[in-house]
Amino acid sequence: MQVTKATFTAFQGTSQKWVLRVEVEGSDFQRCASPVVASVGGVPVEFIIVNLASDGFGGLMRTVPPTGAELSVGYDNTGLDATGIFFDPQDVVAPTV
Amino acid sequence: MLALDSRATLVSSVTVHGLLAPIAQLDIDAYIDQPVVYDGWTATKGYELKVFVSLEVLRDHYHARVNDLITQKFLSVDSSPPDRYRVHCRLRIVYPCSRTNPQKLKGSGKLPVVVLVHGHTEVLVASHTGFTYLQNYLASKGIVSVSVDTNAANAFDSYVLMRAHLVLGALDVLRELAAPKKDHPFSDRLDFDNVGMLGHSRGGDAVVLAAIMNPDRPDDKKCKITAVCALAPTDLTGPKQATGGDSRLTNDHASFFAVIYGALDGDVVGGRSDGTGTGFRLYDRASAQKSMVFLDRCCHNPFNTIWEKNDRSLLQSDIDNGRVLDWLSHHEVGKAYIGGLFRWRLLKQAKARSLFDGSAKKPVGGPASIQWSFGEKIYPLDEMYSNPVAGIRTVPGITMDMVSVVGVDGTPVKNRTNHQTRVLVLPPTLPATAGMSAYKLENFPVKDWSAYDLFTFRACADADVSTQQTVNNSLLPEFTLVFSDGDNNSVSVLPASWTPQPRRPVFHQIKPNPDGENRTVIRLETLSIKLSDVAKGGVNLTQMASIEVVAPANFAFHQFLDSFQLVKR
Repeated sequence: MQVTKATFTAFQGTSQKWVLRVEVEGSDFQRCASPVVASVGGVPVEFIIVNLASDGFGGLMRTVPPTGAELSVGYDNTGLDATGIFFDPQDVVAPTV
Repeated sequence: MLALDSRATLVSSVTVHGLLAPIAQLDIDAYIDQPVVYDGWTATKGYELKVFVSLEVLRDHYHARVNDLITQKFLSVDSSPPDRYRVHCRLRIVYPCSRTNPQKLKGSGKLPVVVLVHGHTEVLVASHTGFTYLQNYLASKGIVSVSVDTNAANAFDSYVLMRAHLVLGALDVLRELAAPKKDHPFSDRLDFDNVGMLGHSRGGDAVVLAAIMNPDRPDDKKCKITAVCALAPTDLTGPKQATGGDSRLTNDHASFFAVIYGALDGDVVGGRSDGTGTGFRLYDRASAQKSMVFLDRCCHNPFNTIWEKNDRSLLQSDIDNGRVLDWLSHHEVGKAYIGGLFRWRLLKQAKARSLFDGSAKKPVGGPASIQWSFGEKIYPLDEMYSNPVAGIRTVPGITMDMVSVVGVDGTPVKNRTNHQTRVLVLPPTLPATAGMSAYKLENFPVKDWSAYDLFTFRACADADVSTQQTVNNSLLPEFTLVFSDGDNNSVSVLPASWTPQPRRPVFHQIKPNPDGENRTVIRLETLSIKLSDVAKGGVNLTQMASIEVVAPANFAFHQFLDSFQLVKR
């Protein structure tokens, strides 16, 4: 898989446990037996859903990662790979309604 | 709540084993009612199930994606209560039909039913049509089957639960078609007390869950599940750590459980302990009568004819040199093992039984490592849990878990095995311990073993799996089993008397880096000793007193033992 971009959005919903939504863009996110997994620094991305077009995925985070934490993405049975994309809280966008 | 738009299509009659067997195919479009669920996964926590109180709350989490799924008709919310939705599901039903009228089922009695479910792949692929070769085979033998489209679960990236709901929902659709006094060819002709389930990949996980959910369903929807087959399955829902004794699939869920898995699988890849679980864990945790066949030359995708012809992470050299079976041969393996399993368990045609206990002379698809535990009668002696199932165990200074064992390559053995079971660990033999008893089981309540045929156990040895050459040079398990009776008569059984003979691991590399990543699995195999041979050695089978494991001299590697059982075939 190739990751080209990640957008972090403040979570706006009724659930109290999520603080951020991340939308990852790229290509070749295969639907295979092993789940797609991701984390930003040590913060796991949960409830990932791969886009129907396999050109990215979305997921939720419970805590805000530290500034400069790197996004890592992979498959559960082969492990996480660093993407060169780093978290900056100043880039977190407000949700659109 | 079903919206049926069905059409009956006669598939051309096919010739199976030289006999003309008319087969009909019926494709159905269904919407299957479900609670609003989403089961997710994280690298750190593993599987997490979430049931949403309403679709609106789900939208709250996944807004645009949920709307996409509705727009694309994977989900429907029309006329559903707020906490449920309807999931679009195509069904392919294949059945043996009358020679003169394809609308009619063959014969007059009730026919067994098999439900098949595919795994996770691209959502526009009609994966449920990829088992038609198997369905045709089953129909030719007198079994009605339904293959379930779970692309809604694929679109949702759902792991297991939605798939399990769809499996059970598909059976509900069949049940509706088979309702008595209804003008349908299936009316009163399907035997829901004789149901088989096959799941491939994530579908393998799902059929296990569906079988577990089945007893809790309303009486008018419950089935009697005769056999569950997990083909190259994931284990996403099981705990990541072995606890011992945490059985999942029991005889209350299914009369028989089989796992069929290729040692060259390039999707559900083993050889790492921290990744997605595989069929080894499903097998270890099942207490139903069971078998697991680990086929040396099989991979993942070719079992479904609609999927890519090879696994993406297969090494090209494994394809070019014929180390992995070709596409068509995988289908022959599917028919032999899966078709054979359902013929054996659903139709009581026991020809394929030998494929599942390692006694087949020339198995289809080539060699396999087999674990099994089934028979007319089973007496478990020791599963290596904290306490033996029967009797008193003495293990001087021996560990009972492979988690802490450092292997011959300097890494933890748990990195090489996908098991989820406690084992007896025989350490490398030191001169001081050579020939000494490493394990003794005595005072078991059943001392009369004369009603049983076999003593079975699972065993393997650690191995240097870094190259094909080191695998070729690895040592096979070697220890002596000593059986004693109440009059102190003993017989020592050496490895030469084990059946079958143990096998070396299958060397397995996958693609991720240019040199290939080593994912060779070290796995247990079930071996057996004929109790008649023990009796011939002068031991009285009606007064058995103990079993001992004696370490060999100069054995350099760890060895692992598990599942001491008595079996009457």
